[in-house]
Amino acid sequence: MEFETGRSPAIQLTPRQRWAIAITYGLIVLGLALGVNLRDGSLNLASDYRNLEAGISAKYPARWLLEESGPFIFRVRDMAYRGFNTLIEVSAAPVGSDTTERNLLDQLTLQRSQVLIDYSVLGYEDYRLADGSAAISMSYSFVSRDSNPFLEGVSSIVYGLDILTIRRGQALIVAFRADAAIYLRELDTLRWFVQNLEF
Amino acid sequence: MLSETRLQPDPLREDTYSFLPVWRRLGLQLVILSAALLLIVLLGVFLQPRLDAQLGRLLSLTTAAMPVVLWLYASVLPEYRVARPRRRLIGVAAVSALTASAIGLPLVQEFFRVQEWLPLQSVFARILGYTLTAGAVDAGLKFAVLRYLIYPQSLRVRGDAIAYAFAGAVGYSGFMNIALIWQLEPTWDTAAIYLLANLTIQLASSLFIALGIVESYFSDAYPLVLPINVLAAALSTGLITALVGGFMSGPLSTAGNTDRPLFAFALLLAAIILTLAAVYFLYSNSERREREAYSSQWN
Amino acid sequence: MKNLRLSALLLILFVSVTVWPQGAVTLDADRIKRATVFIYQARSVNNDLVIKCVSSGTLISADGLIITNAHSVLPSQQCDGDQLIISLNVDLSEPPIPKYRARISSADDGLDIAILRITRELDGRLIASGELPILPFADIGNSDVVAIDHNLIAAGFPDLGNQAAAITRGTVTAFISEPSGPGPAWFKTRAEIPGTMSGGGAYNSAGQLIGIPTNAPAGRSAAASCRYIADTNRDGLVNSSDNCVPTGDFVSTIRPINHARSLIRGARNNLSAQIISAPAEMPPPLNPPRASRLFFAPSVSDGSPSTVVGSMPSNTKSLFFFFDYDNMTAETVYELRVSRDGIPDPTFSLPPVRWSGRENGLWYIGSREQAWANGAYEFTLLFNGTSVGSRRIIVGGGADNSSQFSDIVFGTLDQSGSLVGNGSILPLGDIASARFLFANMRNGLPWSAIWYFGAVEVARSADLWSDGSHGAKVIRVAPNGGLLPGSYRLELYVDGALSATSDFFVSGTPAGPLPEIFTRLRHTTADTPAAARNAPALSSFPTSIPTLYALFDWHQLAAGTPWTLRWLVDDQVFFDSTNPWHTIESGADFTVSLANPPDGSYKLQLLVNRLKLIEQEVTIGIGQLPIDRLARFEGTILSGRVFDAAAGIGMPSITIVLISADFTASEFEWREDQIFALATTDRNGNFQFARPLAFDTFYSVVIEADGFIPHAADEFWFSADQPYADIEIAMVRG
Repeated sequence: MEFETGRSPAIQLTPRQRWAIAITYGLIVLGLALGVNLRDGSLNLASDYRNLEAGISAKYPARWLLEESGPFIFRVRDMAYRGFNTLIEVSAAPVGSDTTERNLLDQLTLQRSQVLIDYSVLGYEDYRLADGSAAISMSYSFVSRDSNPFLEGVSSIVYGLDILTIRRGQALIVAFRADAAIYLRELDTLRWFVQNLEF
Repeated sequence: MLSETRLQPDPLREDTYSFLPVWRRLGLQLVILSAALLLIVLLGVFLQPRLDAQLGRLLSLTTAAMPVVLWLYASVLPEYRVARPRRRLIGVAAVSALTASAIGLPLVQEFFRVQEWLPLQSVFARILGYTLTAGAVDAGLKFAVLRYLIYPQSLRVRGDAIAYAFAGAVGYSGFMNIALIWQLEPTWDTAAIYLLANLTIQLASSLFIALGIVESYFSDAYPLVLPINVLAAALSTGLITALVGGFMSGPLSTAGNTDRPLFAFALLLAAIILTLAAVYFLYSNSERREREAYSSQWN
Repeated sequence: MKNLRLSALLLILFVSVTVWPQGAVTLDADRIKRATVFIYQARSVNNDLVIKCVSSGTLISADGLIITNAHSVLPSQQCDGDQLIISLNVDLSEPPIPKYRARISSADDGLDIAILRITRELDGRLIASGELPILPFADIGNSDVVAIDHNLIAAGFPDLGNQAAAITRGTVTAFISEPSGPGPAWFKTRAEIPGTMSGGGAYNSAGQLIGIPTNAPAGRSAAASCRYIADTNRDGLVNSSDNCVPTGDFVSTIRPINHARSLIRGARNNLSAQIISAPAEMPPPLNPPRASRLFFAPSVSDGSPSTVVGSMPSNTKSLFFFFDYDNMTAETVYELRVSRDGIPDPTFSLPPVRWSGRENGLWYIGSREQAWANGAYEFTLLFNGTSVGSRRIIVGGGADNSSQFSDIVFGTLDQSGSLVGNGSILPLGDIASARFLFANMRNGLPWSAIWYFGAVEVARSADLWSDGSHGAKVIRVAPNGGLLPGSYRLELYVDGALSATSDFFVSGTPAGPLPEIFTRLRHTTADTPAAARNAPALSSFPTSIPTLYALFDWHQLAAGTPWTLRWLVDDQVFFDSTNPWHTIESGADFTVSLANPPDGSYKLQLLVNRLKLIEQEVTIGIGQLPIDRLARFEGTILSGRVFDAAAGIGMPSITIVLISADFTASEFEWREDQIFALATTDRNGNFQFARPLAFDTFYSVVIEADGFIPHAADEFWFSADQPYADIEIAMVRG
């Protein structure tokens, strides 16, 4: 048995009711602000990387896979992304007195064209590092595919950006690669990474 | 004294018969919906029908329409047979659906990008995260809809708040269900779980909002009562959203794992029952207090 | 009871794991099929790849080594391709899919075995070291323990790549012996193995590779075993004007895997030995191959017949057919057809196979420990499809009591008159002696001995027998001018019929029991062979030397004398090459090299006519080969499917992290050194860990995907009875 009581509609809200509504809106706004904060905190959560031997320290997104065995100083990859795992790779290369940055980038191009599918350089641009020093960037694209022959691997178009600078007799190369679909968004991660990179 | 009573009938009693009762109809709809959805889930679990994708989507959309149709049949149509109908039910449902479409879903998916970071968090972080994102968005929007469409002009009895809140839940979850089917293309039985989850989340959230409105408006409660209820609404969204995924996902072992739709279904049923019981208890309590106050004033 | 049934039903419905039973026939067959590859030999013609030859092959290592027949991959007149395309069994129920390109790592065209290494992607991109996914491969068994009637499973592709890999079951029906190596030269089987399965694998019932089904495809003119599959001349028609892909007839011969062990070992360790001092290859003979002096012997000793027989008694279990050959090449196809009482006898016949001997010499083909039924056997020898001679022998009747000579050995007589030496190689001198056994002789019976130097008769003696019926006799020869370096032969006749024959070589100078042919064997390292000749000899070398050189001097070694260079690493042969000596008779600093040798103990042996004359061992680095962690295929191969629980469809590009046994999922900090293996799902959500999980080892698994509830599980282990595990993983949206 349902029992209801009723009253005449009030035209004017009481001060308590007005306060209640205002506080409610305020609480919602506060909640959303906290949500934004939480989101930023989670998405921008960072891990520290230090390599005293190479003289490099960096921050990279938390929960990205850190790899140090390979032809690089270190590499981090976003393994949770469903597609080509966005990666940032830091490597060093020796340079001679006559070596230019373009020489090194061209050398990278020659190497990669041997192993990457449809590797294509898109262009070169000047790049300004966080400390104001000059670097050069090379953007490129290629197709990535899982090489396991027994699986029907998914091909992804990958955009890449190399940032190269020569310091203290060696070249430091920050290679960034991301699925073309999220490349622009992920560039923010690269910028953040470069800003926090010390070498 | 007696004649005076007849000449001046109890306005509460009169109103009671002028408004369509809410709780029983709400409960009945939930029972019917739960039974129907459980049937679909059991069908999927035990018979594992292999449906054509198009047919599956059609069935899912039909299932998604069930709460709306049932609500129209059981809650909206009867309004036109009572003396003082709630005329804004469809409006509240429609505007809730539109806000979900225009603001709610884009805000949660595109702005908060919850799918990118929340599922990977711990249970506690997920509850907190969903509360402060999806919960806050949903509760805020539904409160805003109620505030501007029915509060206070369409509130005559406490049941109005519940009825409109239910309408908001049906509208909001209705859109969310369609979006879900469109985006995820779930199998029919999984769609049933997700539909129930959306309805449960929105209903729980709406009922808490309604309770806050009831307390604030009809009892002129302390100003923090309404925001606390809205907070409870957001929390219920966060809690159910975070837990339903965990319940659904079976533990991984060397035998692999499977989803656990029945676990999730049980959780959602429990959430519905608990929410209804809690809100109804507080609602009844509030109503009893007012009736007692009115009686003491009348006597 | 109802509850019990319901529980069982629920259990079946909920548990979706498939663990393949160990030891089941399907398990072995699947594993064998996974390791089987299809090989196209193709040639680039106007930017097109024209298929020249096809064959089956078998992956024998996780890093892409393939064993197959040499005749279909080595460039030849019939197969003149310059590219090798490797097709893999992506789906065991489907035809193979071209995936990679390979190069020949090592090959022996005589044994008809080649080891290929996958080096490039199909599109020609180089596969960097370590970048090739770990591939399924076959375990290599021991072909020496195979016996008649043992089960045999042949795997390969039954046609030109239109069907999935197939297996054919049969038994080993016979062994065939040849001089080409230790143990049986061939296994015979009556299993029906299509010609395109040549080069594939023959397995024992434990699933171990014990041989390579081998045939020699018929020539292009043989339409029945040749297919026209593409418009290679671009005339708009596919007809006999186009390139024909030879397929060969059914295969009934299997080359035992032990013949390939040294090739495999060399390829596996990237050991590439090169004989630097040898002159350019001799031009192929101009005349057609021919055979002569066909005869039978009941047994073989050091490659020579024990005696010569014209018939064999009942219950004969050993019989060898000998012949001299000339003008042979590695591309010569030879065949032996045996018939008994006019009916072809497939057991002892040898279908067409590649020639595995030298250009000329004495050859035999026969069998041991196999019963020969009584009857009149006719042996017909064919070279390149043409009969070059035939010979009959009767098996049956009583024991042979005819007069005969047997078991000739050669040496020199010491001061006491005893024969000394190794039996088949004599140093330079004036006199060569031969000792032989005689049986059932009668005094007064005419007998004769003829000595040859090369093909030229240098001495002949004919007399009446006077040494009794049984015993041993020594005869000798003293050619004018002494014994010159080269090949010699003695033929013994009884009453005008050849009764025994044997060959020996004269090389080197006298020095104890063995002639001194090779001296000053030494090892060194240098930048060039020329520098190596002046570099100091060393016995140990540091790790990562670019080239190891071995040098030696030689004395009185006549051209044409078969000599063997055998190189071992850690006491295992990885290079074994027997060739006729082609350079001057005496000289210094004969050079052989080994490029980029890994750490190990290397032993070089020099042999003449199977007799080891000198050896030397050196060490590089730690003196032991690096351990190949992928050498054994032991552990559970974990594969499965990750699917979206909502949609029920596979999820592509999901990474499954298998954490090493040292860490739990909660301890995992996304560091590479904590990871045992990674797998990524394909477009259907399927994944497979390339690295087998060690049995009874506790791993942890983490799966994270944006938008989904992650999985983190510890105690992820499999027992030894689960070589394969296939699991389904549901991902639920969070």
